[in-house]
Amino acid sequence: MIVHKHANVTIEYDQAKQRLKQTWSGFIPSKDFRDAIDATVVFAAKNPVRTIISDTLNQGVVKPEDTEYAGSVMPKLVAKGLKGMAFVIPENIFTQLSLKKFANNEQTKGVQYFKSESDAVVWLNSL
Amino acid sequence: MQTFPPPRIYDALGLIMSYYPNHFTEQAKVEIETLLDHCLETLHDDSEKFLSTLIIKALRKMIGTSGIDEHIYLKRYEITQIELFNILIKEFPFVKWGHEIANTLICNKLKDSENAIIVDIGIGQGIQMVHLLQKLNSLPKIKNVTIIGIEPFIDALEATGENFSRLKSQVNYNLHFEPWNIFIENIKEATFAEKLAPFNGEIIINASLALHHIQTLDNRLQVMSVLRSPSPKGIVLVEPNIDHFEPDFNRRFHNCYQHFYHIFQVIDNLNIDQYTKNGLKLFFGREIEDIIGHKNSERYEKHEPAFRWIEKLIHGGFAVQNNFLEKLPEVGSGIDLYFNESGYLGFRYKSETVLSVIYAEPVHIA
Repeated sequence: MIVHKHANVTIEYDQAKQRLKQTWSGFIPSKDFRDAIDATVVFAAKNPVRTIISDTLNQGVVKPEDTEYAGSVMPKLVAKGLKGMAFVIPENIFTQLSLKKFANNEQTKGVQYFKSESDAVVWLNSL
Repeated sequence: MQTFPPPRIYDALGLIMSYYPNHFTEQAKVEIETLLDHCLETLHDDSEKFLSTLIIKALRKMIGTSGIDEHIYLKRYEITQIELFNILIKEFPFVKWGHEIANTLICNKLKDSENAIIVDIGIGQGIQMVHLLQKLNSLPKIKNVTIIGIEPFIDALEATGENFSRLKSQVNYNLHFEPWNIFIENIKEATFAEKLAPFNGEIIINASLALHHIQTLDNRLQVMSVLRSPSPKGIVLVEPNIDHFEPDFNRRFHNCYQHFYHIFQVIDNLNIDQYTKNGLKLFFGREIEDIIGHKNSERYEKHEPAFRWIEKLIHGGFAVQNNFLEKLPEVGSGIDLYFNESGYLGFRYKSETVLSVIYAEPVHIA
């Protein structure tokens, strides 16, 4: 089921696994990025979301303040029952810097980062 | 815990620079801000991040982006001019030993002279010359020394005059200072001859970290010719060994990065506190701003590699002399000195020759 769709991001929900999957591509403007983050939070508030996989493999850079914004919503997701979040590491080096900033945020402890979606899924399935 | 290593800063910086001149899209500007944000996080004790911050600062000035204000992070490292001069002269090996080697060489060349004329190009406040004049005191034959100080900044010349006045009573020869408030490239052979005419003695020309400020090749060649015209005993050049004369922005960036990356590592080796180290690095930010942040026609820090200065000297009628010092000093901070067979003394840190000292004498055609 598609929860949110934009030219540069799609968010899908797997009800059986209670898993959200964000698939990002290219450079996403600040407002659209935050809309996608908000959509994730709103959906998780109303539906059981046990795990999230964020595929950033083909994503472009994210503004530092937007990266902080994404980190700031993590406690809300955890409070609603999130058990684990996994990222597929981006190829773009600036997006890697964005993700590194996200990873350094105290509120994102426990999030894990994988080279492939299949590795990420193995970890999420083990939770 | 699954994590991942951060990407190499140099790679990220190289990508950003490749957008020059007209590919600074909205995404590119966010990339610049992201890299800057990454660098500023642990700026204090990370030389590569400090250097990258200065380069990004220069680039942003050039392309006019706004966003994170790096000045807030950098200004805590500002140090006073006096502190800076002290560190440069007493601690920073490229300046301290560049001066020392040039002065030793000049003394060696004047050891049998009674009268000497030293033409110092870009004399500044005369710091190097004060050390040289003290050193000349040990020469038994020297009687009269004239310093012709060429300097475009009148305030600096006045300070030099005061420095020399204090020194006069401490030296056992007659000291005369002739200030010349002019850009070296504006001096013609005739006016140079007129300026030298009243004085007697062997002429030594010293140009420490000065000639790279001449903007064009034609002017550089003309200056060499003018300097050759009075048949000086010799000329000493001290110059950074790097190509910032390069007109291509991307090549210039890579040269700039390599050069200052090594200089900053040397600064990290100095026995001074971290704030002072960063203050010294910040000082070089002005040069980086000139190299990266200004249009080529508005630039003054146009360094050239030693071999190109040698070419200019030869073109001007000089012949370079190698192995001009019998014994090379230990300069410390991980720097080794070596004579390059093409005719210069190199200050090398790891694989990078950061500074060169060149000595040349006029070729006399029979």
